[in-house]
Amino acid sequence: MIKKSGDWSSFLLRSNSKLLIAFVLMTLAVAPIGEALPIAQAQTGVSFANIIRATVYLASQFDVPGGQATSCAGSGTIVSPDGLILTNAHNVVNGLQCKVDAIVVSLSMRPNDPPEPKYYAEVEIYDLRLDLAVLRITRQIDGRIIEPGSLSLPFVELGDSLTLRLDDTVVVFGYRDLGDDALTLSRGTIIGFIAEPLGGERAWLKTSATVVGTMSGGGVYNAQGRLIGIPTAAPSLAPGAVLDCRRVQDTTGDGIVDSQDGCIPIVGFINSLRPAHLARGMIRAAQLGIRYMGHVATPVVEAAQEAVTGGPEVGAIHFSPAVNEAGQPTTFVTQLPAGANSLYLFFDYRNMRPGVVYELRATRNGDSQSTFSQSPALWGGQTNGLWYIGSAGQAWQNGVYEFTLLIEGRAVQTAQITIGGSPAASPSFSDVSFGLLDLQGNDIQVGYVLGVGDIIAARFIFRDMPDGLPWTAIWYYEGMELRRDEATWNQGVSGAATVNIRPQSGGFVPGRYRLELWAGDRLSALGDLILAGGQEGVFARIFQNLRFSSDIQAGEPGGIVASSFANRPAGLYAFIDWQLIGAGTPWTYRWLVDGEAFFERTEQWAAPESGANFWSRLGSSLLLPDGSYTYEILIGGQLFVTGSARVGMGQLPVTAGSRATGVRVSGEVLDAATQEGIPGALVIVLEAQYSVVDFVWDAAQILAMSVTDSQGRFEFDRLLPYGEFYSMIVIGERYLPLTADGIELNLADPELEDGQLEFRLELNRDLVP
Amino acid sequence: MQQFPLVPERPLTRTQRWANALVVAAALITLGVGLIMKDQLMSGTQPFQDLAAGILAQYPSGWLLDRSGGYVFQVRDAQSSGFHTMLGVSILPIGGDAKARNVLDALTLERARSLAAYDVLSSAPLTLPDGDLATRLEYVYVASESNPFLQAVPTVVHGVDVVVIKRGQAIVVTFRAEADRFDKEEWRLEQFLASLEF
Repeated sequence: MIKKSGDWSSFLLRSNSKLLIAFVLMTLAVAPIGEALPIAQAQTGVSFANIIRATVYLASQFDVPGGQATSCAGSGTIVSPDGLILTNAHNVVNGLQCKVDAIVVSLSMRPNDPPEPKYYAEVEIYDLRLDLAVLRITRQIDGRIIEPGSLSLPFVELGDSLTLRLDDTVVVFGYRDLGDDALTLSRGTIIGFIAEPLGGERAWLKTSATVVGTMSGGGVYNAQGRLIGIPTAAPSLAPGAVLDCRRVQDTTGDGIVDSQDGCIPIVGFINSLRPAHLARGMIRAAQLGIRYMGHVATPVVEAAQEAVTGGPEVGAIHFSPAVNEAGQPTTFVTQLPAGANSLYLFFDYRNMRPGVVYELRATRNGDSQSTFSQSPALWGGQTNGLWYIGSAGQAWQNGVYEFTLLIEGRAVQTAQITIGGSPAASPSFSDVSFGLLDLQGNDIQVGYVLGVGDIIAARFIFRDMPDGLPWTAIWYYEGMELRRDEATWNQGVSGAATVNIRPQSGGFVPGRYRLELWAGDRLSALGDLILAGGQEGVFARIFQNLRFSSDIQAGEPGGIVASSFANRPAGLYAFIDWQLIGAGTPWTYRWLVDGEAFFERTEQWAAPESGANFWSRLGSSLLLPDGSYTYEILIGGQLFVTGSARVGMGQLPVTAGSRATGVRVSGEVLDAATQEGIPGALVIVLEAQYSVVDFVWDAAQILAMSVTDSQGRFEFDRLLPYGEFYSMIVIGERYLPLTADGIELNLADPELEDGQLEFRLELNRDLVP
Repeated sequence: MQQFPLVPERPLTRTQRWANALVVAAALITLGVGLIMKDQLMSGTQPFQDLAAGILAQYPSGWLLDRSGGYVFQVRDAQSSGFHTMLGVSILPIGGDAKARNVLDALTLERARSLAAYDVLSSAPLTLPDGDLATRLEYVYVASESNPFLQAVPTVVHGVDVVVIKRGQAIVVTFRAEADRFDKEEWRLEQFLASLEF
């Protein structure tokens, strides 16, 4: 007899024995895991059980006399069945905030128990500026190496964090404390978005959910159960920074745990989430086994630290109501009218390095404002430049806002702005843009990246400027003042105006320029300009001669030099020639495969001003996967180089079985007479196109298979897709086999909760020896 | 209570005695034939051929055939409890100067990294039924449940690799069974080797 939620007549039962009639009892039971699910979760078939199992506790270990000790702890999420884990970089990258000789991965075996160590993982790829890392599980906890592709772990899929809206419900999963507690979930809503140059308008998501420090690196899920964010906050380890650092182990090997021993740093509460879309490329690269060789081989942190002398410095904070397409302020304000829904804080920075922790604290009328605060995070910018933190599209209530910027736990700048009242008419400049003029004063180029030329013109808007007001235009090159024009305003109340600058001798040199416009004694607007490359039509000509090769010989393209590689190479080089790029110019380079970016970095130019054969290399553990690989270079957000090379078929292979939606099927196989579990019984679910009579013991016909454990429990290692009819076979040695066709799994099944089905299968003994 | 007089039982006739004996004999014979048929079914084989790899073999009927991994094929006795006795063939590319010992060493190193408590028991030359020279490597290791969410006591597995160097490649026949059942199951390997054609 087969029974399933009151509708079992549709099942067809067969027995292979003529001696006895098979007796089958299949009962659906629901095993609630953790807290009760929101109804929306159940209706959409979301498996919280799957999320719970995919959320891991990570402990970074380092060698100490007599063993290993934990240097950092956090949470992570398995994002592919073969054991890729998404987490924060600060917890797992050696030498940044932790000493890492090994990373222990612990899983939640039972919902209410602390996690148990099961595997070791290694860092596959990381991005310090995003504070994200992808790990790969490589060894069993007893040290045995795990063959690539042999794991089949529960995992979650990434959702679309770009379509999130304010007040969307989210659930955060992670481990509180140092692995002593069971997995914790915290519900909340999206309460805001934080904009930064790295990540754009959605560089950060803000949530109302309560997230403790060790949940950093865990997962945030939308109503569809998709991973849409990573709770991210990094503790500052600088002397004097307020820090929760827990000493739990004898790291010196002296037999006592005291102040000499290392401690595990833990950040306070987190309300900032890195959107999952910023991690998609890293996960893609890890799945494909592609490496950006230029940076994998170079310790980014150490290299950057060597290049920076002196401590971090931050300039005054200025407020702007908007950001233009070049990531620059439109104008600076000291007050915004009621109803303002966007505000950006701009500041200059110097001597910053990867790994520096910054934080922004906001108050309104003296009360803390978590919506507009930024949890402690790893620095996302370059060594020096202009940075902004802001938000748009959400209401700012009236009041006096005070923002305090902290670097390594120390307050370095504070600024106030009043929001409320009616728009105030005050003299102002705004919307600075640049153009390159020829000697006759004709426009050659316009934009924020111009070729090296003779005359730079800056256009700007002015409003409410009374005649007779003193104003100043100051030009800078790489932070050094070039020219200062002080005058009395006489161009009218509102309109557009232009200021020009010519080089005093010779010509302009490539690099970063800035124009500051002061109305009276107030900085009212600024614009940054990059001069690079030669003049070619309306664009600067900076790069040319992009070509791809499979190898490098004496610094030049070697092996096969082509745009199509029929035989997959182990590596792919992109060579490019360049001219007139000043040292320190920020540039962005990225690789895409089949149109999807999987590697992107912004750095400051460190090569000579002009040259040939600058190369960028992709590598792979074996051979590069088939695909169309594109190399791009951007400066100031403007695309200057793009080119593609085909490898193999020129298209990525289709990967099957990577969906994380469906039913998690588990259960127990019992002796019908004794009701005891049967160890070693085989439970098979056939691919949907096969029925029991079609089965000829070919593994290709099997969708999922499990062998019962010592308690008679089984569990399939993959989710079974909805909307299909399945056939099941249960075989136990010295028991009559049990078979059934037509088992339907659909979302409307009232017995299906939490995306999980629990089967109870009873087998009868075979009386024939 | 009603009582019946005792009546002496009539002795069976000769025909009745023969009939009884024949019924018992028929039942025993039927049972015996059934058991023999069952045994034959269980020890029966079915063919496998891979023309690309150039391999023909007979493997036990009812075993689960798997061609999805990095091997030519594998079959497992999935219907048995405990560790599923396994037979498989894989082909490894080797250099022109490689000897069977090189292949065995590579296998040993690779397995020692991935299998728990892996240990080589013996290694000896072997002549296959078709006269080919091979090397036989015996080893043990501990197999454990791969699903971390299930609880199972690890099993000691006894394995055999038979390595043949042919046509510039190493053909590795692998047989693994639970250590307690290895002696009883080893004939499967002999049967398989006898049927194997390269």
